[in-house]
Amino acid sequence: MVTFGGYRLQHVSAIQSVGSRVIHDRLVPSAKSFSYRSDETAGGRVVTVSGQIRDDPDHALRLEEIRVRADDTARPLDLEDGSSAINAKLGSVEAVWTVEEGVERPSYSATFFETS
Amino acid sequence: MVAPDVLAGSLFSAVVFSGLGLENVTTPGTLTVIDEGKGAEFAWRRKPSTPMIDDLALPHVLSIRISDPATMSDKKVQGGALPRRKMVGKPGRTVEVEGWSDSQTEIDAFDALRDGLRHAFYHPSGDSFGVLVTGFEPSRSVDEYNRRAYRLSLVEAN
Repeated sequence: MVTFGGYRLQHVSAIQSVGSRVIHDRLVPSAKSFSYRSDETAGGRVVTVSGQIRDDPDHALRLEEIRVRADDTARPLDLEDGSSAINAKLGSVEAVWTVEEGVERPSYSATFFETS
Repeated sequence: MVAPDVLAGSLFSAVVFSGLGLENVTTPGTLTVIDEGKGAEFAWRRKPSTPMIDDLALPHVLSIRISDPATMSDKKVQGGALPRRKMVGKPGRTVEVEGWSDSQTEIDAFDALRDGLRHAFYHPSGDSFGVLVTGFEPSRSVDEYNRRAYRLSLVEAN
């Protein structure tokens, strides 16, 4: 189960987490070995949660429940995979209906941005 | 939904007997009847079985993809702290519909939707919003002359 601010995302099938750090890299002239590098700060993780809403006649409402949470409000994102919850804001939301799955089984993906 | 009538106020009645067989009835006070109704007004919604643009049903739809992107800005903080992120705004939903058609008339009709005017997009779930048609790409392969795949691109517009 993945929860975002207490709201449980339905039938999560995949989670992609991309972290980044800001590294200063300065070439030192005439240095034979390597340049100057230092870790400046964290870039914050970008977590994409993909899933599906299954056999729910209110699937449009479920998608809207996710979409309204993209309101520039930081909420705890708990992936419930043993890692600690992070503070994140919901950004992009995407929903896909296919003829194979049917109109009542939309797939969705939500992108969360870790913030301080 | 209409709430039951509400009867409010007071009703006083007094019966005064004066003599045999004679009675006067006096009813002072007020009787107030408040008829109150509560209703919910819903906008008229179309719920087609296939997605529609205005009155044009999209034929043989294979997939619908609706994206609601958000533009985020982040301000890095020195010292290893997490960045401060803020949502700058949302450009609006984008829709991509893939399907196929065997009618040149339908393909011509979809191509004519790229007129720069606002159209209404109706999703099978009942959701609807205004869109601009930004792209329509039918297949022009000779092998698909009787089953021409198409891709329709829409952007949400007020």
